Amino acid sequence: MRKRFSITHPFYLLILLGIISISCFIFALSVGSLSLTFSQIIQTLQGNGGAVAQSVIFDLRLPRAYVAFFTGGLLALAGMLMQVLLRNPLADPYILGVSGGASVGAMLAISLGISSWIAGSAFVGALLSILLVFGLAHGRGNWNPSRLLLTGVVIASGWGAIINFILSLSPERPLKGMLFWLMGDLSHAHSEQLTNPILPVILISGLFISFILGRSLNILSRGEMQASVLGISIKPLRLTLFLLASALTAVAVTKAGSIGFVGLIVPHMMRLIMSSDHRWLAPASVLAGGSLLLLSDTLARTIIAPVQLPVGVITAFIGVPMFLYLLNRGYHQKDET
Amino acid sequence: MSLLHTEKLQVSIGNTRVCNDLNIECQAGEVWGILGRNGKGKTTLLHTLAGLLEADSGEIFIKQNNLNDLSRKKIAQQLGVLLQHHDDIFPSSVIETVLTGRHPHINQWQWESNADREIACRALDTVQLSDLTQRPVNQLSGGERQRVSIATLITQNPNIMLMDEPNSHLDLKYQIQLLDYMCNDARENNKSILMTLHDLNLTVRYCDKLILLLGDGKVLAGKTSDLLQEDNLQLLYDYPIQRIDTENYPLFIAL
Repeated sequence: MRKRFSITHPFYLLILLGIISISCFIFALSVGSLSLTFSQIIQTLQGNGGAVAQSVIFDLRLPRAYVAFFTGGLLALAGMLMQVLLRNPLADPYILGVSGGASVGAMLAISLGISSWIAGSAFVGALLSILLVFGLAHGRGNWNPSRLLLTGVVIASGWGAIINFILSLSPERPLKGMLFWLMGDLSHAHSEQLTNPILPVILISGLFISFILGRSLNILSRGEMQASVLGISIKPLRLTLFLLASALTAVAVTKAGSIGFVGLIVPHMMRLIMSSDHRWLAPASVLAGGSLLLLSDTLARTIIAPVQLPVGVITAFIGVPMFLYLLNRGYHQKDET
Repeated sequence: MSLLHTEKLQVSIGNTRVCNDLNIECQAGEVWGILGRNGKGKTTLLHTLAGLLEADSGEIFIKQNNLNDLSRKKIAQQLGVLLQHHDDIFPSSVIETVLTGRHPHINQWQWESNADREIACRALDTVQLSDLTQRPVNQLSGGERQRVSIATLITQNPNIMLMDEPNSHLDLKYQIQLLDYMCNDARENNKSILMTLHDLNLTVRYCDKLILLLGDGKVLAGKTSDLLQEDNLQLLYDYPIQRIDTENYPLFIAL
């Protein structure tokens, strides 16, 4: 009897996800126009590699892999929080318009031709969108998931209209950059990213807060009334979730554009194969989201090299069939137990 | 000792008044029934007593503490609610659902201990669901799901238990067995139960006291033996009901 409640199952899965993450990193560092063996990678990381390998790893592949992994982790964690906040398994980090605001900011910077402003103005756009949704949904204090969802979705489509407006007025030359940004693009990552602590700091603090709130999230996912009955103060928890999920999304979008599917599919996939306990789901989603985006980005830059595909295309190509498979398998397995 | 009492409680839903100036005092060991026709506010009154809805005016006290001064967590340590609807959007197993009942008793930083799991397993034993601990709750029948909710309430182990139609979806055996268990637990361990019911024969069997919601804010509250008379029931249900006295309990039949 007791053994069936043992926590070893999600624990081993988490270790497995850790191993997968490391393997994805090694894969990302080794493939490309110059392929490197495992021992060459290790030597280079220790500073004993050749000059070319040194430059390929530290200037190109490692920064890109690093941004991809952390962005994927941020998106998956934000998606998990958003799903609980909106009580909707179909919610993704972008559903409340954060990425729309960021996209408009980025589009404006690209169309003005000031590429160094892209990240900054995307972040400002994301914050603007968060404040707008929060202010409008909070309105007269009647702040509930359906009102929040409707406000967010309407604001997101408003941003969508502005994006289309900018795209249709934009001249030929910056158009490709804009489209890539909209589909998610990691090719801007460069070696300075490695010394910039923002990604790990935000991701680790987000993970820490989610972990502390984990049991409350488990209770909240059973309905607000039931959560209230079991001792949760709903309003402060909802506000925390909204701000945390939005902040994680804003950082991810700023670094990599709007990359679809990771935030929707990864948390849901983890719910199916692992546990419904958010204390396990949070770290598992981060590792799985990071691995998925890292793997996707590696494929995006190598699969038909030298042409680079937008990474969002690959996340969808990998994520959709994997998700559908797990969805079916999950139901059959649960029927038997 | 009074576990829950109200002073001049006034409650309404929309434009319908549920009660005016309701003063009740639930003593430890007492079982109260709330009766009324559809839409007269049984559930609203129950939710107001639990602090889930705001009253128009008046006060609610849990053991002399005003409900408004207590945090949700403090309330949850004292008072549990069996809700009528559950919301199973995300996948979760029976045991995980029942374990949520321990939430108000565990610190923010702590995980559920083995002792908590044992409490949950005993509750599942009580509602006879020990075979289904790993089953996802959204694959249960209505009656099984209701028993999971009852097990969650047992796991929470509050002094005051508010139950909204505890017998719904349950077959006859479980209606009697589980109400027997809950009411005996209340009487033996100085807890209090308030429950909404539609079945007069269960009401007379289990409730010491009653609140009859007659509509338009008119309320009768008092001992079951005094209130459960044909004239009151005619007034309550707007339908003739015959009382037949037998050796054990009186029987009530809608004519």
